[in-house]
Amino acid sequence: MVNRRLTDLQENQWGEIAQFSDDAMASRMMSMGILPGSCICMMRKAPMKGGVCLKIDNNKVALRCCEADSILIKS
Amino acid sequence: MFKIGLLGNPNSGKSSLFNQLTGLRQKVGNFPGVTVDKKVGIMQLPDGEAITIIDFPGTYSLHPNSQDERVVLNIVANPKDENYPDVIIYVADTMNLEKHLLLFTQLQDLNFPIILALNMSDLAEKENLKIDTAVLQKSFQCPVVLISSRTGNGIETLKRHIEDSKNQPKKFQTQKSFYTLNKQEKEIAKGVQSQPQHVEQDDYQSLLWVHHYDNLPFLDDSEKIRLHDIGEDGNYHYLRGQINETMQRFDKFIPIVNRTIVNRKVENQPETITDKIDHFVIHPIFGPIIFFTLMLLIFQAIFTWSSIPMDWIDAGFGSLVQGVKSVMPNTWFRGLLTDGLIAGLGGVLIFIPQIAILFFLIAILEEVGYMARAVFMFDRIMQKFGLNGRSIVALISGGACAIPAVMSTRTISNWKERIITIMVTPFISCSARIPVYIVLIGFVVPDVSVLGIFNAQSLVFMGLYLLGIFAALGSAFIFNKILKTNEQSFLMIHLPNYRSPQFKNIGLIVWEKVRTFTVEAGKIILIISVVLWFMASFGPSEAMQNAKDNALTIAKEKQLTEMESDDLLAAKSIEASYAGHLGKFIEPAIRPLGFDWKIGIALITSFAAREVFVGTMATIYSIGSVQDELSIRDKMAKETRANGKPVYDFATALSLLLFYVFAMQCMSTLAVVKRETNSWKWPAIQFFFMSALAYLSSLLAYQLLS
Repeated sequence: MVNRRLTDLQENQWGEIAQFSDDAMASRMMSMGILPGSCICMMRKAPMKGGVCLKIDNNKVALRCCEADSILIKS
Repeated sequence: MFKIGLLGNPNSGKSSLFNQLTGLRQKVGNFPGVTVDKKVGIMQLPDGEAITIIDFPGTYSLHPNSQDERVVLNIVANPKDENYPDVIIYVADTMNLEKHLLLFTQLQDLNFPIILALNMSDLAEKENLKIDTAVLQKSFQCPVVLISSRTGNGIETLKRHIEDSKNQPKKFQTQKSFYTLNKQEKEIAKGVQSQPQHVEQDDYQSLLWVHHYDNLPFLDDSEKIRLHDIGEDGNYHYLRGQINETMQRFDKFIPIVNRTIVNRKVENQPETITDKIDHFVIHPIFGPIIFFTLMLLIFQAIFTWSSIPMDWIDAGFGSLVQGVKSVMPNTWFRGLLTDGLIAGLGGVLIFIPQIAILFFLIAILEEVGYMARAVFMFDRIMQKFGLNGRSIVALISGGACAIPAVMSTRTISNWKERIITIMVTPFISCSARIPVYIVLIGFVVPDVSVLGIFNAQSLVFMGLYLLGIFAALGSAFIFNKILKTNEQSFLMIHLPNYRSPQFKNIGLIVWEKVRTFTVEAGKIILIISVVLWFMASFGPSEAMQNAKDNALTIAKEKQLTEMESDDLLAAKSIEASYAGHLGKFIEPAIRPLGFDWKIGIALITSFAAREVFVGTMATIYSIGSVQDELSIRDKMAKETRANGKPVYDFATALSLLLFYVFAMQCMSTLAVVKRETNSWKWPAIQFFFMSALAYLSSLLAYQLLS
């Protein structure tokens, strides 16, 4: 199955992290507790490729669009 | 002295705990060589002994991604470091325990005696979480304490554990490594330890050295090459290895957390209060509206609340000067005391109300969790200029005063983004420019209305502010192109749940900032004030005597009152002083801008602080009352050049205004920039860059318009 990018999610949509497309981003995100298998909700997408606000295990995290792009979710 | 290290993730409530343990007995410095806050405090144990506590910057992992995290790695991976803690208190957020244990297990593998402090136990209690600390205690073989840094619960128990750990540190170390190294990693670790003169080192530390040798300044070059070769020979894949390690650790401790907190709600709750608030606060339209309203209120508060204490300080120093003058004979020493030292000290203290109010309000926004949202909203725009979302805080604060604004950039972890923010913040028109604008604006446009609704002078006033903002963003853009960094820029921030502010923390923040400003910037301001006083009061003795005689003769001829003749004497003396000579010396350089030597003196003395311009003008044009900006303007309007045309015509006034918008004329800011960047290089670049811009724009304006 092809994985979708996290940024393809609409606001208030849920997804499950499959993997990361970039190792450097992955290590950074994992140290913050964003792990493959975590359930993730797109809370807010700022307009014009601004940041995204995510909810993950009752934690809220803000990422830049390019950072969020490296998260792949199961489709 | 026995050293306790306080470590944990950002948002673990570590700093609140630090405040609980040390109170006012703390001070902030920098870790050697970097501008990362090092907070050190003294704590009294129950047995009466005093020990040192170091509050380390919030860290997610020993594989560093920021300056802060590198500092932590550097210390905990080097037992010879002066800040290497004897015992670690690891602070974790009970509500998010499964996210907070990565660093904890890494530190345990470095063989530190550790006490695990589960913070925010009050919130856990509210949520009816059942926390079985015995499970954690058994799994990690270290004492576990439930604490609340907000209510102070559990702090006494924690102190008793600290006491125990001091007496028997061995009891607080684990025997086995949490992370299981694979075969390749074991080989690499063995390679590091094979060195004959090698000090005893555990496997995980060896691995960290190989992994991050480039970020460990305590290693010498030959050692770095050796570690590099070991990694190469062992075919070590750095990034993969890091990811695998992180995964393994999470895989191991998440089941432990699940056994510790049994009735935890794992699934995401539908909508919390924080979500409801965020619905508006980070809304694409309401968000910025809320932000700018808040900023306007802060701005307003800084101006209105601070004016009263500022008047007190002003009046207090005024009467102090009068008092000194009435009891001491008129000597140079009295002049040094009143016009040099006391005036300089007043110049420092006058900023304190603004700084205190600004930090008070910003600390509240930070404490309740709002700041992270503002950073998120503005990150995108700021990035275009090489800045960070957090720069918005500094740029807005700069509207009041650049000094606290520069100090507030500490929250920007990326070195380049922080430097750029510091460099451009002084372009934002601060409150000290207002009196200068007011005096000069009348020469540029008359007090008439435009289109029936706008006042022409207010429009120019606003234009000057916009010009400052434009200069700040424009030069940020240029710095962004010039400065290079290997450090990747990240946003990735937690948006903490909203909570009510803790005034003890806020009070300590305000106290700390005010103290730092007074001591650090104060020293430099005082020295420069004394130098300026000297230059304005002394000159070649013959010239000074001539000026005095001259003034007395004119006064007698024109039958001036005592006050008028004093003013005249002051005016003639400043012309003959070293400052006057300097003004005349620089006159050729500033003539193309339309300035004469009198303006030259004002430019020099303005370096102490911009608002000094008005006072200097008053002295030069011999006006008794400095307070009355209008009478200064009248006097300036009458001033003519040799050809009979007024000095302050449209071109000169505009040129001077532009100069004050752009020029770096604030030694307090330079002093703070020096302190914050830990070098003279940045304030020097800032000074020359801003002055050059000021000079060129004034030159252009005057040459085109005159």
